[in-house]
Amino acid sequence: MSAVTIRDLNKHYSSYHAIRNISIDIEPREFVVLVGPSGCGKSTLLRMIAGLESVTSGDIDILGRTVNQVPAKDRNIAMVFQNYALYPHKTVFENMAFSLRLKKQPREVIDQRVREAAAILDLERLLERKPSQLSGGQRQRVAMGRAIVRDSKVFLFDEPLSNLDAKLRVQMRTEIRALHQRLGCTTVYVTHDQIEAMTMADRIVVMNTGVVEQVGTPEELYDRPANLFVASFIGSPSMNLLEGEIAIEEGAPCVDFQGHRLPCAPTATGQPGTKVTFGARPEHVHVHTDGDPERHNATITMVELTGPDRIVVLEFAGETIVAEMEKRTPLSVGQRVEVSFQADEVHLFDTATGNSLVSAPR
Amino acid sequence: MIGERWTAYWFVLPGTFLLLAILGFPAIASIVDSFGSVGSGGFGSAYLALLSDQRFLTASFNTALFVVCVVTLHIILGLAVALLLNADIPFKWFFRVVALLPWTVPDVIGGLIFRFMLDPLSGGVNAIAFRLQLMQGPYDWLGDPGWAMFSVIMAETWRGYPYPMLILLAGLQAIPKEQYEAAAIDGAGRWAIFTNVTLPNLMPMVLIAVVLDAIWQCRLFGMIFGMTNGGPGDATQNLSLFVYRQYFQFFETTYAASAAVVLAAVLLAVAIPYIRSTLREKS
Repeated sequence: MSAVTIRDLNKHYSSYHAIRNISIDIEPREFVVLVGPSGCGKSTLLRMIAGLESVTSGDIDILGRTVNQVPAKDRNIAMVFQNYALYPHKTVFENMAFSLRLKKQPREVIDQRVREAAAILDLERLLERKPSQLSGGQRQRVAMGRAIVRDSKVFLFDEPLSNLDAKLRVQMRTEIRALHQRLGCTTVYVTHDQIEAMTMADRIVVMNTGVVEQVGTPEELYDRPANLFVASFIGSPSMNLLEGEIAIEEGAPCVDFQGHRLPCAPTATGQPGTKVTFGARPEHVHVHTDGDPERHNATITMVELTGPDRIVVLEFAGETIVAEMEKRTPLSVGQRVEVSFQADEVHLFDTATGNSLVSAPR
Repeated sequence: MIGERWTAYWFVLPGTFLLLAILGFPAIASIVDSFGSVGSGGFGSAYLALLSDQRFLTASFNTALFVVCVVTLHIILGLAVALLLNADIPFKWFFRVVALLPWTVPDVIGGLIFRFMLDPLSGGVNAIAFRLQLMQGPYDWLGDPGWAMFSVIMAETWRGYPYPMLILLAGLQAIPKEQYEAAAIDGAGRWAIFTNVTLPNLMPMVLIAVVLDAIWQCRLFGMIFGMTNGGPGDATQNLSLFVYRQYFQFFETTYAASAAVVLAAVLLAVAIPYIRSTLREKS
């Protein structure tokens, strides 16, 4: 039995169709991340699961029970909000104990559950403080503590790290993931940050304009994007996309881009003359300085050092492409270099539909 | 930088001068005058006379009763209307305008309107009560000391509630929606949400509304002047009316000044918590 099942879900706000026919199965103990740009409907979907938004059509099942008409408090879920939504006038202890007090739990039970959650989250010293006396990371932990004491089977996170600085975000990513493993709960996590999605998820649901573009593991999404949207959204720096058409060279298909013959994946489909978009991840753009005439000429327009790697921005046949290089090879702006691609590393999409033309997994 | 600072002082100077001329001079003159002698008494005798003046004590009691009742009713009514106007209802803007209308009525006019409505012979209140067979004959509401104070309190409750209502509505709108949602997920019903989310978040605004309204009601003049002129007898006379009468009917300027200084001191005492809280927020 799935922990959360979403079937043919739709949400309309007057004439605006926010969620369009979405169906997803989320397994018990799975960490699923809903990711997409602003306005794609990911938060709306999460709020529908939580019971904070009504369902226009379709069904949401939580632990085998259809919950469309069930109020949020009875859905056996816990939710962590982007701005934490802590009660500012209550202490950390009271924030965490609030749901238990409403359930009229005995005082000893409340005390025990809150202190257990506080121990998990290293909040024991802060129980008597008010939220205004806490740092962003501590507030985030209290919000999670509030969710933990509810002893829910499904945890919902709505962009919980957006208000934290970059360093703390990385730390909290690890903590949330560890917490998920420790509690053994099912987690649905919303973010617009694809790095957060890639590093935390068992499976990622990529959304755009109210529809699911692709569902898969981080590796699947990165290595085999189903369409141009996923290809460009997942990965940083983004995939290089070059528009050309399918041609035949020496009996094998390739992509004709401004007269350059670029390799195709062996499993790519498509008729000669079909308008296609060639895709290559920055780490799959190979930069050479040996002057080999068999390769494609390009000019370096910018070099950025990111630590162990360097990002090289190149002008290639009038287009800008980005290469990522591991070694600190001496490269300079304005330098003429050669680039090459390997057939088993590149992607191919139908420009008209945006769908991938690579038919089988590599 | 120093030059810029002095430039700023030059801009502030005309306003400061005007304030000193219009408010500062009369205030200082009144304070100085208030310590003058009354009758055969010496320095500060006016203040001693106030303590034994039954009319002053009655006016002080009336002021306290009026302020406590009106401010309490303003907060209750203002909060109730603010909660209704904060709800997601159609034509919200229309109801907001309607709810604000009483505030647009000048207080003297408001007093006169209620005086006409409560007139024993031609007033609407008696006519309706008679039609509904609640009374056998006309009743002089404003001629009865108990009903007169009650009527004045009701009239000012109606006229003045939009001001605290606006403050509380602004406070309600500033409460993050997520707190309500978190409470709903935590299992809170409507009453629990009201007591655990709405009220605690609103308390700073309630304090501001109470203090500002209390200051306003302490010095209310027009409504009572227009409605009862402090009568019957001294039944609805508050400190503002007492000061007015001493000055402009009995020409007891020193005595009136001392009463005005007492009123000002009371207002200052009420204002201090508000000023302190705003200064704390700024720091």
